[in-house]
Amino acid sequence: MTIWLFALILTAIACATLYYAGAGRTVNAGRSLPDATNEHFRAQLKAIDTDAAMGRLGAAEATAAKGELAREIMRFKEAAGGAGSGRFTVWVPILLVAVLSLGTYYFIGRPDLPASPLATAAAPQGEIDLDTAIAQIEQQLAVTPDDLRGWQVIAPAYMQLGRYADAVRALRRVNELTAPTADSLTDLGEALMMQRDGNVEGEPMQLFRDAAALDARHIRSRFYIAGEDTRAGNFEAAIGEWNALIALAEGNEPWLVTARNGLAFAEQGLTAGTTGPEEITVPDDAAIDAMVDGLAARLTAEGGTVDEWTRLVRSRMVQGRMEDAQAAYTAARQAYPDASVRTELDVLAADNGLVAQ
Amino acid sequence: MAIELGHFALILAVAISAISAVAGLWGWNRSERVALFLRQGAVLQFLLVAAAFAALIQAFVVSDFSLAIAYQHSHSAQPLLFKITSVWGNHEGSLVLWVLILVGMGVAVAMFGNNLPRELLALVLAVQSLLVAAFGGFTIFTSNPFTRLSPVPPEGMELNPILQDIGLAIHPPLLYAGYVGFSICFSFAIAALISGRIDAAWARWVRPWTLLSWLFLTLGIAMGSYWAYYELGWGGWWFWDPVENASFMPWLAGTALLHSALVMEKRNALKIWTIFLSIITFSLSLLGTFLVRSGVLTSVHTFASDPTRGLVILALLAAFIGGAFALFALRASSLRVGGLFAPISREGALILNNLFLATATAAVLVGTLYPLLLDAFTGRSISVGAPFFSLTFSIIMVPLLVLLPFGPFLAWKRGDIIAVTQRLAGAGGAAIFGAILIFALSGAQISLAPFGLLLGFWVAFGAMAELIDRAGFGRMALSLSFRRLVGLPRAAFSTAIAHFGLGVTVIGIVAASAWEVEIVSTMNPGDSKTIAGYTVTFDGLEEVRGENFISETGRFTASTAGGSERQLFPERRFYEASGTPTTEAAIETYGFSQLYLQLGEAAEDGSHVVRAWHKPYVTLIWLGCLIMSAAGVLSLTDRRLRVGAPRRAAPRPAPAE
Repeated sequence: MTIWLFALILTAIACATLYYAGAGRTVNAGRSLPDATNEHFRAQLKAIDTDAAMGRLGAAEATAAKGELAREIMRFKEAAGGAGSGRFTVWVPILLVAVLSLGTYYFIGRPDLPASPLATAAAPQGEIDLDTAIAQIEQQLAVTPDDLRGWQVIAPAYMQLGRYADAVRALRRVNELTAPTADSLTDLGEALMMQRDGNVEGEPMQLFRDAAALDARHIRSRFYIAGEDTRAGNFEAAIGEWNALIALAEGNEPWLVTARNGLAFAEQGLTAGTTGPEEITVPDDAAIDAMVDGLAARLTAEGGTVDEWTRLVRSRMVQGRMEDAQAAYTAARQAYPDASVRTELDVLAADNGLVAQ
Repeated sequence: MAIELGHFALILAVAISAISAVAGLWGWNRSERVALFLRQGAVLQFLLVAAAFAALIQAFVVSDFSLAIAYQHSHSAQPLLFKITSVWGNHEGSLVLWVLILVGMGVAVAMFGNNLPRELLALVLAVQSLLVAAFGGFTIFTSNPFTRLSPVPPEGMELNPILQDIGLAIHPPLLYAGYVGFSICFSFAIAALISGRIDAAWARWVRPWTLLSWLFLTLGIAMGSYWAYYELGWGGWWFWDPVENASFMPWLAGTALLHSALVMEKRNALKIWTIFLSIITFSLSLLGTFLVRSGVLTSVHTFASDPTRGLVILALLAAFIGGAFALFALRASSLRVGGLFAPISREGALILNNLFLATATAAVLVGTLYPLLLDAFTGRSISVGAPFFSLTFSIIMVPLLVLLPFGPFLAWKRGDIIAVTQRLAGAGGAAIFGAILIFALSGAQISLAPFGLLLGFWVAFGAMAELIDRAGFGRMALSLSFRRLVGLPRAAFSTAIAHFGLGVTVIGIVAASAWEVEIVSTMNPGDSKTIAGYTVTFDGLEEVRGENFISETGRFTASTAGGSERQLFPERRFYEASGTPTTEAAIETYGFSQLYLQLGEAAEDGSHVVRAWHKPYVTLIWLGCLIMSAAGVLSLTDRRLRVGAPRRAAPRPAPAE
């Protein structure tokens, strides 16, 4: 809130000085215009005399130049009018300045984010292991259980360590402390799913549906819904979901292949309707693993574009195989040492705790 | 907190500029208060953008990686200086620097423009505010430097190691000051076109601003050239790279403007042409910004290419340049032409100068844009390289250089070419002598080089001859001439010194291009090679640790026939954070010449590829630029350009009133 206070003070000061300048007295308005103009013409006249004296200008030419100058001055005298003294409603532009700046900042500013200079941030990475870090955060959270950011930081760490029950607890706290978002609901759903060895029935599914209801363009939750519908044999619903997902894609997403496969399976299941869902093979984790492994093998052997590397790193993270993600990221950095071409990759890696090695 | 406050300050500054632009263009001739409002607005814009810039610097210095650009372009292990320069070592930050200089120029007009007619002041500040609103808005909405990251990454990604150099602290601010300084001339030109009047103040104002911008641009380009020379590691000092051309075109146009503004200031002539040149020069500055910032060109200057940004810059460019020329087409005819003159006169010579410079600008423009346009419209990719530019450019420049010494000798309005030629005979003779001397000293073969040298000496000596002639050396007693020399106006000195500097640069270019010697060889520690009379011995290698890099440093000794020995330490560095290798050349200066050593990669057997160059008189290239800039400074200190400075005493009353 303090930032808004300072912003308001700053705006008020700026507007006040503008008001004073625009509406205040104009007594001390500087030197009068004719002085400045006269000075210029005097300087020109002097220059003509100097040039003539030094032989830079013939006598006849100097006279001509003076004549030109005289005509110029006379024309100026006629034209000199000075600014009008019409009305200038100064509070209108000032009000606009305040509205424009505060409004823009409201939409693009991040007043919620505190500064975090390196000196006050946690100890540098690499010097403490994850367990110690988690222990530290847990201690802190025991003291301040309302620290939203603490729970947000610790939840992915729990997931990474396979401590799903703790992750569920942390994510429930996150959803309590702030208005749930599609992401936070899906995170909780995933944690519950992992805790139940991949079973999404019941609460996880409900969470995914809530997430999708919150944000119709939320890929992750809708993916789970489509997958579950396919698995459960609700092919009509599944086809609708897969199609909706494919429609959301821009065309180069790594999950698009899986979605198309899922759609094909669901369609196949629908036409084969009577045979029952048992005979349908759903693209399971193994199939996805095989696909990602294939991409990894190809990139390692033949190299690839930065986009492909990015896709690999992202897929590894979706699979939850963080070590492989780290390895792929390291390999990608070696393949593309120029940081400027791999901005997206670096941002992805940094957001998910991968380190530059 | 400071970051967000900086963000808000930038937004507030842009809001003020947008409102100022509208208020100024709407009400410049309605009320005197509008000008006062705009003046205050300009001061606020400057203070707020400076605060925003300071917030960025602070975030970089304390390595606050919650700031996205700090995360992307800085690292906690970087030395403090490079943490600071990292602020503008990226697209977003460099735009803030650009805008900061823009508002700096605006506040200068507001502060020193007390004696400007209120209408003119309002219009100039309105156009200036429009520029701030456009480029500040572009910064905020497409390239926001205050984008935050959450969660905060633990470590940054490091500034591109090539940019981790003192050069980044100097080159961009100078170059931007040059580019952006021309915005003032542009704003004055637009103001003249809108109001339909060229005020007396116009002539007084445009020349010092042109001079100042030209001065910064000269230094900026020279600095960039020297930086490329020592950092890129192969000893080239000018590549006709589109990005270099982008800075060179405003310089050429700005040089033309400088000369035409002179005519306008002294003789009231060439007014419309000067307005036209003002628009052209700043347009070329904008074009340079577009080429570099849009990502159309890929180079070390392109920090990140993003098509949206390119399109927006292109749109801004089209709006400003198109708008300015449309206004020019509509209004120029309503402006009055000034004084008359004969073809052979000082004015005529300056027009000739302008013609050549304008043609040269056009040649560079065509060479730079043609490949881009061809690629955009047909998909065919060609490269217009150094041979095209060297040939076209020299063909245009040679006659200009030949004629240059005549200009300052000619009288205003009507000159006598034969008399001038006689007065220049001495300089001609001295030039021939100098060219032959250098040629003989360098022991080189017959080529076109001596003619190039002759040209350089002709320009340099011709410039000096002007001073000598004006002081009357040889025509009167020595002490009297000396007193006359000291009493000459500073303008005479600055003209002569600037032209002398140009001659020096020409001599450097010709000598370094014609007589450069290069050897490439594999050397083991203990080996010696001889290049142009220097014996270079490879003494050994050692590993040195820098603050954020590991360096493989070669120790070399260069000995001359005279027995002097000097140590050289070329390096191969490895920047750990980004994993980027760079090479650092070792350069030793002997007189005006340089020995340039570059350490290559190690081969299997432990030997290293070593490239060595001897570059005779190469430092003259930059020395000439420094001399030119010094002349610019001298000219700026001339009283008559100090706008608003009270006169000590009017020498005589103005009879015309």
